[in-house]
Amino acid sequence: MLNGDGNMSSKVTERALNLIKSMPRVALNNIKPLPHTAFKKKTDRRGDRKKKGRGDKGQGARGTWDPLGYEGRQNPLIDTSPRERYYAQYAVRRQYPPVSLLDLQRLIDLNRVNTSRPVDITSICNTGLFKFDISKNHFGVNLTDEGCDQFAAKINAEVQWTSELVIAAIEKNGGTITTRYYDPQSLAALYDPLAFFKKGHPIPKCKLPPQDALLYYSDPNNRGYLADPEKVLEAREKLAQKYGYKLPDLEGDPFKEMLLMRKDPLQIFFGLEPGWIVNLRDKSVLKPKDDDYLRYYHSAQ
Amino acid sequence: MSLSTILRNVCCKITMQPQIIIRPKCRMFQGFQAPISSSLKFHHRHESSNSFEASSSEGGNSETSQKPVMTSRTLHFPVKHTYPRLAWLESMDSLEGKKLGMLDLHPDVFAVYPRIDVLHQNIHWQKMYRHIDYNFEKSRAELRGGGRKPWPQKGLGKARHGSIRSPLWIRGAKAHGPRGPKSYFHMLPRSVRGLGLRTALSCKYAQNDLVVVDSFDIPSADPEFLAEMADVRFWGYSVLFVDDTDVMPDNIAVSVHGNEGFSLMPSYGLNVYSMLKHETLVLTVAALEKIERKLLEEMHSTEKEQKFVNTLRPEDFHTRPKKDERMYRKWSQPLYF
Amino acid sequence: MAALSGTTFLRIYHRVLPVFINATRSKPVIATSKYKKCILHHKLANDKVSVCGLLSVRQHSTSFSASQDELDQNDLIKDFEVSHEEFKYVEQILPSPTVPELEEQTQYPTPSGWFPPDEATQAQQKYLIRRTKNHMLPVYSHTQNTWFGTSHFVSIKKIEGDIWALEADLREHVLKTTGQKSVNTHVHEVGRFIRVRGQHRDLIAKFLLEKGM
Repeated sequence: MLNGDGNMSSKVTERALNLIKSMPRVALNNIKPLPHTAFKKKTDRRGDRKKKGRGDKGQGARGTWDPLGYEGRQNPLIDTSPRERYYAQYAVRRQYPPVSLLDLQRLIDLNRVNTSRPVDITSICNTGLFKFDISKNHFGVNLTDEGCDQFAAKINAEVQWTSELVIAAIEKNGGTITTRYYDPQSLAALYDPLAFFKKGHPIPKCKLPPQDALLYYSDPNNRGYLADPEKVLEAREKLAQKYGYKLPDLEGDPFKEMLLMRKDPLQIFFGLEPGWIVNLRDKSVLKPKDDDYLRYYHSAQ
Repeated sequence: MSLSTILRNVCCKITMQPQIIIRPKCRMFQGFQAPISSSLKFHHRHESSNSFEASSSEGGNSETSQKPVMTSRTLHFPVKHTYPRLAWLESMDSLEGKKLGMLDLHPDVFAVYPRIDVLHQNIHWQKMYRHIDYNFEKSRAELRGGGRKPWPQKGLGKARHGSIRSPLWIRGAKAHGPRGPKSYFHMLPRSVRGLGLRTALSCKYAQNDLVVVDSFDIPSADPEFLAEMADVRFWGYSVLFVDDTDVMPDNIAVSVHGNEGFSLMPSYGLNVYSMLKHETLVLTVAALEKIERKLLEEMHSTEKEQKFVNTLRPEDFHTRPKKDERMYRKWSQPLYF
Repeated sequence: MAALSGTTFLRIYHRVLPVFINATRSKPVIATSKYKKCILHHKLANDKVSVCGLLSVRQHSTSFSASQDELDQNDLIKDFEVSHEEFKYVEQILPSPTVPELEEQTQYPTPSGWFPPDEATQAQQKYLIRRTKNHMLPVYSHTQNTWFGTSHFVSIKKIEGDIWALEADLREHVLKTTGQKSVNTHVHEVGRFIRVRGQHRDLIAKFLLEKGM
């Protein structure tokens, strides 16, 4: 609109701006903060007297109290029952911060995530709405089942941890899901690819899962990336029967190629091999040809 | 009554009519912000890119024709609840200059609610973030002397003391004095700094203190020429010239240097303090494009603001640092590289 | 599964390794026991030399740590290919710096329950609540633990227009819906936000959506 007719709602801003038009110039000498923004803390001076609020003599004045929980020589309450090690090895255990199906559907609705390409941890991090931290042992994303009834997108999802209900929700809509392990070095590249490429390091090869995770990622019921693809197809059919939906046929799907895109176990980015170096300034990719180098980056050891 | 008090009163009293006070050297009657009525005829050119092209064949540059040429400027992140503001595009090739066209200004940058308190926050931050308080008072342990008990505890009828440098004594230490150097470094949130810039630009626009020119190529290096130009155009005692590059034409650099109150600045140096210190703000079109785009990108960015981590060490202060071109390089290059 | 030693681990891996559609990777090769230190030395276009990849592969000989920092000319890899075609895969991974534009959809609400602002209904109101940069309503619930108890309040931000009219409408709606006798609000005219005491976030959000915000 060229004319000055805004909505009723923009009139207050316009009126304020029109008002300052007729007032002295906004300058360094007529600027003030809002009242009560900066105030001095009133220190409590009640204890600043001779006895500092501690009274006369005794343990109170002299600070020689018994330790908290001490019951004379009786066995204290805290020692009557054994310890429950709730947080044992918390610093060592892997964590998978949750992203719900509802969050994912909202990202898709608001065009933050491109469903015409596989949706993996990098797509989720690139929205800027979810942050993962390697120093806090975040080993990837856990796709949770909140919003499984509302989920209506056909995607090729790649996550690090999920549940049966989530797999059913995604496959019901004609999509595919894979659980995939990344080691911390690969995750550093995946969580922030731009910062990684700026460093100029070769793309790392992804290590295989540790012993306690190998079972999970080899299980076709979890759609693990190390599982047998034939068994995965069987598991899809079984799950459809369990939850009572008709499994959509991938053969006749126009997005079949995208839905069946999978990364190699050593690969972390689609289309880019481990060992390559990305040159952002010249917009090129450097591919070394040394035999030893290639043997290292193409082997699982 | 300060500006902020008056504005707060305005918010509740929607029916209050503002009093019009004519300020000296006011450019209100030169039609700078007159709303465009349908009676004026315009030649409307639709530009596919953001760059401005002054029409050569139309009436803009010729002396005989007085038809204004309007160029539409594509605005990123358009808003629907309010309209884009308009500003004349002037030339600096003569004292009076010519009106080359009219530019659209994004309301989210040039017509935001005037938050005077945010301006205050920004100015306070600009002053304090680099301030170091070097005041230092020695403690009773650091003062020379005072290790010996001045006189025995009992028997003299005098007050009991342990040291001549205790805070009770004249020439004694200060118990809790300043223990500098103390740094007041802090970073205002990125959104508050962006809002401060947008509020300052809005205030400048609203008060007729914003001028947009095509470039800083002036014909003469004489400081008198620029001073007279500012006089003729009612620009004010102090003028801030902002362009997108930090390599300026010779003439403008010499003229600005010769005039007290005039300052020349690249667009990455734009700050609230300078905008309010100088009466008039003169932007080139390139600077306007850059500033508007950067401020809008900040408003709509996907990056979560990272906490500023000061990585300086004492060793970094031992040698004089090289000229820091990082800010300009970062500002002028495409976003990724 | 039995305890996996080094060699058995690899064999099991190969047994389960399926054939993938992505054919860019070569066949897995069991690596040799001896490795060389592989360093890639790449010259950038403007002749500034930088070490792009220091690849210190596990070396079984003893002098590993001593020689790690030295860049021997013999160990530099000078044989590499520069490709511009594969850069498109890099561009697909890089994030966009600003929030992308919304696409128009046929049906609202979207599957996740999102409504766009309704301009027709908005224009009839005396106030406007602008959406955040992520296209969501700026309605936030807060919980504060104070010495006198827990306090819950809802803040509504980015208010334009007659803020007192919005406050009156909100108050009326909350009282009518919850049936409580009073509701405390805080109107900040300069900051353009309202705070409402109570856990009424979804209520207020629904009310604002009905007003087309």
